[in-house]
Amino acid sequence: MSKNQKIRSIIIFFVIGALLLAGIILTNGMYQKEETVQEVMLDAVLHEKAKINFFGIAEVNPGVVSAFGVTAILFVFALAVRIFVIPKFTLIPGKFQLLLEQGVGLFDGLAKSNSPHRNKFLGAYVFTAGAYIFMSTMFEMLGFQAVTTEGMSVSLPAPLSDINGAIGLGVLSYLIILSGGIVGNGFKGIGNTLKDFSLPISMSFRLFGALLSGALVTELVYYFFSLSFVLPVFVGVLFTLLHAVIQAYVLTMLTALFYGEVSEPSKKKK
Amino acid sequence: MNLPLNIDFQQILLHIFNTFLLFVILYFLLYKPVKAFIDKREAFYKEMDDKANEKLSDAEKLLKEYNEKLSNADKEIAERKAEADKLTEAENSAKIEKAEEQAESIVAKAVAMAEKERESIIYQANSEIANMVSAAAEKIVFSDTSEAFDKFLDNAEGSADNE
Repeated sequence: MSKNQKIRSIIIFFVIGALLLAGIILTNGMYQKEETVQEVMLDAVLHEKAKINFFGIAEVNPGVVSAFGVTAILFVFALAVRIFVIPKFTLIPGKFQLLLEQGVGLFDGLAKSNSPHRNKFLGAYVFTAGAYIFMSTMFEMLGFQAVTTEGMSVSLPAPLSDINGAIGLGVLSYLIILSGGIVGNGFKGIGNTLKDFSLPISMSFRLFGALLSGALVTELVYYFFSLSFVLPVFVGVLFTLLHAVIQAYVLTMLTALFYGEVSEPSKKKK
Repeated sequence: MNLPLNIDFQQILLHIFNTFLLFVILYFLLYKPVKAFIDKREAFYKEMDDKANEKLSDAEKLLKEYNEKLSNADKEIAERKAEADKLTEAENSAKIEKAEEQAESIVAKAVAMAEKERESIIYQANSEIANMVSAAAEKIVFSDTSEAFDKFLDNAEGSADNE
């Protein structure tokens, strides 16, 4: 690239930046905020106002729509991979094949290391749970819009920042652990699992707390005009990515750990 | 029923249903085929490794056998050499012995023949002497004593010169 071309590129970048800033400043104040920051944050926690009609079945929180949206995205992705990629797998993997194998191998290894005696079903479950938590957390960054029953536009949040979604996954994980206990140890396994009765609550609220705190911080940052520059790069992207990975790892590891503990065959006393 | 934090059982069930649906989708479309491929590759390399180990163990066995054979061959060569040496020595001894025997027999024969010849010469000489004595006696009897004596002496001298 010659010196003139460099100067031209820099000038173009500056002009575009200046135009965008001018647009942002000029449009500020054109739209009145309908909600206070307290209302926005309260609604992010409780979802009392913004409801979406779910195929005419019921009025649900946006989190439910997000959850099915994530499933739809993962379904299309998995179908495309199954049809176009997996049949072309080679013994020496390419980059994408390696990524898929690493993903499956990671959760399979997690299941095997935490529950060495019984792990086939567990491996598949933690893979699903890990993929779901990661993708659903990342989903909020896509900023898909939906229309509420009141006719307002709402940005679809991470499904697990909805308390019902977090409870759903926490309870399901607990039921999976319980099933491992029953299959591995029968009635004793049920006893072992019920002993940790606080597990579904702790798992649910850990997920809810982690995801909600992310959502609240993001809401807070985006609510104020002055915070809308540079900061969202860290808050919106890096933090989301970070807690997507952490929460996916924590829940899958806890599930695998407890599953392995309750399904471990008890040693007979001589 | 209004629960705190806007908890809704219907929505919880919808979330669980969604997760179950996702489990089925991901299991059949992604997890199972990818894992099957990983297992297949693992089995392939394990088989390759087993075959290589088998070949290695066969080669080691063969090497051991060859080394054993080689060491046995050295031993055998030494044994055969010793045997051959022994045989050669025995043959040589036998030949020497035979030669000695032959020499002894030749010497004995030669001695016997010499003895026989000596005896024959002595016998011949004795018989010649006897003949000469009888001839001399005859001449003495049938001629003068002095003449006879001279003749006897001449004859005796002649015969001594001849010898």
